[in-house]
Amino acid sequence: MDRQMLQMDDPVFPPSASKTAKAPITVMPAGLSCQAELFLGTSPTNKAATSGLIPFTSTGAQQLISLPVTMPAAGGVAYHVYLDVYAEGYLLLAYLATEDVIIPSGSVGPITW
Amino acid sequence: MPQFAPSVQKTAVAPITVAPAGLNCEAELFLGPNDATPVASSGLRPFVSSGGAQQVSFPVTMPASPGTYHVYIDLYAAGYYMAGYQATEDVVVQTPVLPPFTMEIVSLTSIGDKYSSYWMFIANVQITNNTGQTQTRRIKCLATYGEYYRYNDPIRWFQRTLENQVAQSPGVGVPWYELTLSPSQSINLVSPQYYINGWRDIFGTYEWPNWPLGAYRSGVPKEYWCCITDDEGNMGLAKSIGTALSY
Repeated sequence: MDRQMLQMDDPVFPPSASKTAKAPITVMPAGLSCQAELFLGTSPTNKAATSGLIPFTSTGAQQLISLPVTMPAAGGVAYHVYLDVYAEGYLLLAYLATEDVIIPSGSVGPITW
Repeated sequence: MPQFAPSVQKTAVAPITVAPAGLNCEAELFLGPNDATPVASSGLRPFVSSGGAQQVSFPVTMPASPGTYHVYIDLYAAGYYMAGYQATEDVVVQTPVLPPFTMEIVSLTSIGDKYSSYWMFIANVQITNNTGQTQTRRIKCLATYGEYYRYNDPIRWFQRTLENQVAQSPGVGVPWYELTLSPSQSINLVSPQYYINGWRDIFGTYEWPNWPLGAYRSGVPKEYWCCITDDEGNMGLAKSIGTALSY
């Protein structure tokens, strides 16, 4: 399945920060047992942080699904953002956000007066 | 451990690295007994990350109160607090130290008509022993005058003259007035009347030299200066009595 592009804003977060992404997800028909997982990584197979599988039941209409993620501790990296949606255990949708999440890193050297 | 005088402005420089490049960043350096009680701060210093080390300057006015202060740096990236650092060395704000002797011209009083051929004045001088021991110093007052266009640096003239005076002492050239003060004693001295050709030594104890340099030009405004020195090279603040036309 080809991964589709998904709009996203506010891409900079501090290391290890807890954030909750909210994604409007529509699965039809109603009544299906669904799951969604948002994860950050340098590739789809290299997950640096994940919401885990968040369960919901499809309504046939758009649902705002909350996906809590603790940002990676390793900074200085731009992480791709992926969203996978499963219905009845099958991978139904796979998204890649249009912007990366940037986790800055910083260090301060010796002070000179 | 860096040591500074109270209330002086100093600039600290620290290499800061924030990755990735292109982030709007801020850093603040502050001094305090702990990181929750800043007593002096650079404020937030903005910069854009380059991904490499950047030299960020932090101008800080030292606290007025003497003491030892920890040094902290807080780092923000894209509006988020990234990290807080404490320097391995504290900053010491020193207790101001008074010089052993202070010499101050309290006032210069003009006598007579300053537009006459000679402008006479007297100096009221305060000498203070700031130490806990009885001290003896030799002092003298220097005076000069000059034309605006040529003698616009009386301080330099005084310093040059003082060097000559110290080199000649003791016993050669113009004598010094020897003064003994008990611990913390402060006295006021009134100079003899001064006029342009020299001090009139009315006390018979010391002489107040006047060695103006260069040619005297009648009809040109002169500026009249006075300062007090000791034979260790300490010099009080020079004071101008003002300007006058000399004929």
